[in-house]
Amino acid sequence: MKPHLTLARGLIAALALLALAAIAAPVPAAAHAERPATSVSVTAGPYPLVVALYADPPRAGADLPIVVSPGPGSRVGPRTARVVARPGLGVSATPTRATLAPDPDGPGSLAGAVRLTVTGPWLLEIAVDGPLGEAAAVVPVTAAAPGALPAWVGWLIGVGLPLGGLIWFVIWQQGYLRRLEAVTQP
Amino acid sequence: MSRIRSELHPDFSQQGATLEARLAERPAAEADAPRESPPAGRTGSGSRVAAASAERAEHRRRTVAACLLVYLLAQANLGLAWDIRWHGAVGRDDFWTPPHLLIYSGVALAGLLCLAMVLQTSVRRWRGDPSLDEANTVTLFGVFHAPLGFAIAGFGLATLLFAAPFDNYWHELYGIDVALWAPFHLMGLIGGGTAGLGAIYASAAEARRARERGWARWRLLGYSGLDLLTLFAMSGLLSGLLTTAQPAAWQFPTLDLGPLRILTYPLLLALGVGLIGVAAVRLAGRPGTATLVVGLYVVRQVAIAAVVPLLIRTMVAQQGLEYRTPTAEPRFTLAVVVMVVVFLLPALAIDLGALLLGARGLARRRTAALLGAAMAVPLFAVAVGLVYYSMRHARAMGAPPEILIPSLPTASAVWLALPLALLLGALGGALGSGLGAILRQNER
Repeated sequence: MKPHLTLARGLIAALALLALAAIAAPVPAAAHAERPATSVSVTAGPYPLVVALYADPPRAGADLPIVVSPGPGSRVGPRTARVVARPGLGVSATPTRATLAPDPDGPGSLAGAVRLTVTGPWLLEIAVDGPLGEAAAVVPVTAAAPGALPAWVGWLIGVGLPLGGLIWFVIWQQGYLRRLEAVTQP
Repeated sequence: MSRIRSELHPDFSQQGATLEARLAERPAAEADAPRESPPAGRTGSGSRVAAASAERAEHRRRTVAACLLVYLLAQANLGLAWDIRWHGAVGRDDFWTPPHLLIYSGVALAGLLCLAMVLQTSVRRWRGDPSLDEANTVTLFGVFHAPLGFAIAGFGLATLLFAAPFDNYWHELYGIDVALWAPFHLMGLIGGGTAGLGAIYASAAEARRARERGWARWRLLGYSGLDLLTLFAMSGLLSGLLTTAQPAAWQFPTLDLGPLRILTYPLLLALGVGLIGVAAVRLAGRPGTATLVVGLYVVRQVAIAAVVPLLIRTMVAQQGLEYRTPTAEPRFTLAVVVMVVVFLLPALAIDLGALLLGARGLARRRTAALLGAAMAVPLFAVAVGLVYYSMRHARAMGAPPEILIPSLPTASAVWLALPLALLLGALGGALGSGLGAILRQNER
């Protein structure tokens, strides 16, 4: 195989691996670039908390990013938090769970995402643990119907198709260049 | 190269043969054909003169169309820069905002231009126009014919127009997204970039035709008018790539792979700047061209940075709109100039490398890849500086209030990005070498 083809294929393979890794990577703890859609102040035992939700209303079938922060006036915050989303009355679904991790963009905060799988009322049970012991608080939410164009379909159409076309074009032009170079350098 | 020059000198009376077949046949035919005196009253040179004249006319048509295409895309580019600042300063209450009108009028007219080129080329080929054949057109869907550059630009513009209603629908479903990196924003940017690539192909093909036939009379710094048009179009593509990468400078600074965080901006820049810079040098065959392209980019961006705040303030006053926050009123600042001038550093690195290695050395992909990787070192420093500056001054630079500015990347995120930036710079260099080679030789 010609050296330049080996190099090109090696580079493209490395890039493809990186792209796959980026796509397959789990949603990071701080996947919230915008300000929260809504914030709720609750008390979990000795811990006053502010629970920030990054979608209002949250959509069924999509991840709901959550950040739990110590509330105003709190002397010490929780070290760990776990969220259990329990389906409300009339919602035929299985509870879902998420463990929150320290938020690098908010010292003292814990961030993560929980999925509400079905449209309707849910209860977010936030169980915290820290220097003052274990405690829990409940935040009611209502999951709205999923968007008519799911996010993954949007990304597939918006980015996947055009990028696929560009990759096809690059491959086509590689063949064209080989024909041109065969003429100039027989 | 002289073989190409003699073999591609136009005799477009041969229909239907592929480029390779014609090139294979012509030397034998010319070698074996007996020299005969032309019949009285009619010279064989008459048909050659007519063919040359037809080719020259086709060249003029395509040159005018290429100039128009480059202008209309530059107009759309200005509209995009205006739109990005408009979103931050005023917001989005309607699809038909003034910057959208500027973008889509440029895009629509450019699309109509490409469509006209496709249709008129197709009709002329169907009628057997001797100035058109497989050497200077491509076939689309087995039916239509077009110059390659206008075909590429047409597909790009169609993608961009297709993205617009989807983007509108996306906003209706999910609200006003404050990120450039939303699906149909990116679709539009990819379409616009493809159109820009088509404009480069279109102008480079005519530059090559003029160069090979000795039609280029006027030169500046050794570049013909069409060379400069091609390089200006390349600066437009560079502008599009850097605009697309912009959110990585302050809004999404890191790529998160599990526990690993990697600074994103240098990776995207290494690929884009490596691609364009090496392609420019390979196309022109001269060191200094990468710096010229980035210099043209700097001039564009400074002009846009000076004009856009004025446009926004004028439209807001005329239409009685309000700024989103009291500090959102845009102003021209020196920081904007510095933030584009710094890109001259990696461009100079490319040109210095080309000077040391010889511009012709870039024909070897490995050499081009090494040059791309070497360029990525100063580019990495520039990118890291831009990230830290942008994140610290995001609000002053117009970041909307609803966007949460992430915390500064850690040192590990920065250092993890370095080897990847070198890898992507190498890939950009290798791809740029191929692109430049095609642009230098293509006449379709």
